[in-house]
Amino acid sequence: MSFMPNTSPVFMYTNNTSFTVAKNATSYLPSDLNSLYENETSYDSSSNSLESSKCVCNFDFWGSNTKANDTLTQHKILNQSSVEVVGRNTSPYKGTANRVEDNIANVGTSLTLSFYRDSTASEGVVTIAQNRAFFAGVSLK
Amino acid sequence: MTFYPKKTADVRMIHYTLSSDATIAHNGKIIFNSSSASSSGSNVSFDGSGNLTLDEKCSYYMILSPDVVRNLPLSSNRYIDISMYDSSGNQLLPNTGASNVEFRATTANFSNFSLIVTLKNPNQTYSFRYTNSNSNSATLKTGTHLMIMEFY
Repeated sequence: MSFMPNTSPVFMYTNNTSFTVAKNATSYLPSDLNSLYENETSYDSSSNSLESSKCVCNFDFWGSNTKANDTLTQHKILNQSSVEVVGRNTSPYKGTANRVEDNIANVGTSLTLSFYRDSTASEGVVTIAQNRAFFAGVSLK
Repeated sequence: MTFYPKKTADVRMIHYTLSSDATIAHNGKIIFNSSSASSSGSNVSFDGSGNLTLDEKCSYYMILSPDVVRNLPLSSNRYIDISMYDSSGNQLLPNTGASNVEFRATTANFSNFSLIVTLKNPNQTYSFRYTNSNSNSATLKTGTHLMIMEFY
């Protein structure tokens, strides 16, 4: 006879490799993700979405941009009901020594996490370092 | 025979803030000394030195929203950071349970970001520390809030 320990509803995923956010394109998290707490929920790298019965999720990143005044890089969470939460673009970060950081939240059963850079963004490269993009939250049944 | 308990969890909510604005030194701990509302039965507590004790049997989701006014001089090259640390002095990072917030702008007010924490069965005491690359102190405002969800 064995007893499973009580399952915790909290989760946190991070990117195990650095990646860049392409200009004039939507970029997603790399498929190689660290899961700090196993089996709490699941991230589907083919659909780039977090699947859960009920989920509140924070999506945060901390990256560098070779053009400090790049104003058109955003990150988003889209849920299954087409509610999209969009983070600030990088215009507020002018003069921040090319570091960008933001934190947004959404709720749902299927959450699609993405970055987007506009076609008119500057030519600078936005790089998200290892473990600097993360999504964390609570998943409940 | 294997028993899988139903995946549900009860939750307690705990809120901490500061009773008044306070000066915080470089590498100093945030002293949370006011709690406006907390669910009964929680074993979460801060001591007077800013050390946070949690219940090892529980899981936690926390959001820290700092409200800091930096002291002069201001420069994008002089940044401040607020992070969570364990009792051994290790900074928690996203792959160990917490984000940090870092602010490099030339403006004084720092209240735009949130620090997110997820912990499962924590077995240490923790603290939230302020650091400044220029080693300057800052003013920690009463607009600083820590929201804790305790799952048991």
